[in-house]
Amino acid sequence: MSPKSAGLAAKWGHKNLLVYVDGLPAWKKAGKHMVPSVDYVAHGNIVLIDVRSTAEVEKGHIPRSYSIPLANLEDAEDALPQGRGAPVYIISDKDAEIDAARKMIAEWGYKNTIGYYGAFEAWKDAGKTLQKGPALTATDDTPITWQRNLGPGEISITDFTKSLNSELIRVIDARTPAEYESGHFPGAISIPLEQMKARMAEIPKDKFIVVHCMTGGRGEIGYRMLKEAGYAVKFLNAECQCYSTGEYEIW
Amino acid sequence: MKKTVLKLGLSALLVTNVIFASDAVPGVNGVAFAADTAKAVKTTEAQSVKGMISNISQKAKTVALTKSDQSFFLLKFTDETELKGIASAKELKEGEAIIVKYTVVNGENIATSMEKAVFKLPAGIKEIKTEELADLLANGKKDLVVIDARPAIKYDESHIRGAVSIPYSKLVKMGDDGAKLLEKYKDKHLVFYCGGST
Repeated sequence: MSPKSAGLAAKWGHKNLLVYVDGLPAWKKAGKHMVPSVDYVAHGNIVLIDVRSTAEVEKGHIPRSYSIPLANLEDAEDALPQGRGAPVYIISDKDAEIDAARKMIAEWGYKNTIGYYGAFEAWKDAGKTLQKGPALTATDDTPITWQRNLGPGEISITDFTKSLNSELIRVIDARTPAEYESGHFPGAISIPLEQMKARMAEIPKDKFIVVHCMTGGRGEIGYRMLKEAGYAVKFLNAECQCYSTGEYEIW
Repeated sequence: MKKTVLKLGLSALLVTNVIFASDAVPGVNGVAFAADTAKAVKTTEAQSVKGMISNISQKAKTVALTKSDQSFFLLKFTDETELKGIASAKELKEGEAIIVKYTVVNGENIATSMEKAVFKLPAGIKEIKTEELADLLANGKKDLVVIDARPAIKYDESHIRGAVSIPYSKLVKMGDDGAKLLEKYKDKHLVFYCGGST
């Protein structure tokens, strides 16, 4: 995108144009900071965690943020949202605290942890005010909840579990045969993603189709494949684990 | 922390049309039930395709590409697929542009070779590296404007501090009116960035 933007700028008479070709992957790899937009922090579908001490938090914090002091974070894994895809923004006035918290949370498997460096400055510069008093708190029994906004073709976990017992819906397991054998959703039929095109005739056109895999990746490709072939189809964009007992977990 | 153990036999009377009627489901309204017009012609001759990886499954050795016309292209790779300039298919990540040579076997696109797409900068436009950019920003250079060319939502989620959001897609959509978005930066040094080599 960026070289094309620069190309347009050149066409419109701009001089002194540079493109940061390596872009954000290189920026992140070099450990450089990135920050969210203030409005996104105020209203976005994200989780804010303030890791400063309780006393500091009570003097003023960004609204909607949860207070988990860095010293307590280690014991707070179960107080975090279940979905490891939840976007978790870490807030502190000390960059080192943000780095430490991000590292810990990333080790728990959270794929989307972002440090809000310079949070309070940015917040004040944007004319926003801090909230005084205690911030939100979370415990193992009352963890932070976060629900992803469903993207195109995605089915919610609730609807997915309902669809397992519906005559109108066929659930397709896009994982490998070995994964399927070790445990699968009740009623799900096994069509590994790599065979899906060749075995499309086995998929009924008069049912709604839901494709799942282990993390959503293969499910999404299967969804796109079937959608292109004219199926009414959705996919589960969540992680799941099926056991040979017939029990399963989705998160 | 996987706490939600959902047992078999949950009460699950399902009203399908509640789930499926809410958003655009292909096929329900007949549109997508039309025959697959994009189906590749059966051939064994090598063909080439360039696109951005929108999904990749290492387990299923399957790649979904988005082509420049936004259409979707699916292909598989095998242990025989030649990897040019990369050691393993694991180096191919979502969001990267790749060039693939492939043949069609039994209606499936099988990659014979894959490589990352290298693009050229337009004439007169220079490249800047990570540390140079970091230095410029740290020194607070006044006539410098860093422009994030990604979609606005990506900018909102996180961006280089101090950058402004001018999505490429917006510039293109506005045609020559797009020039107005950049006009106020006419005398500045502009640095454009995005999510990598796209």
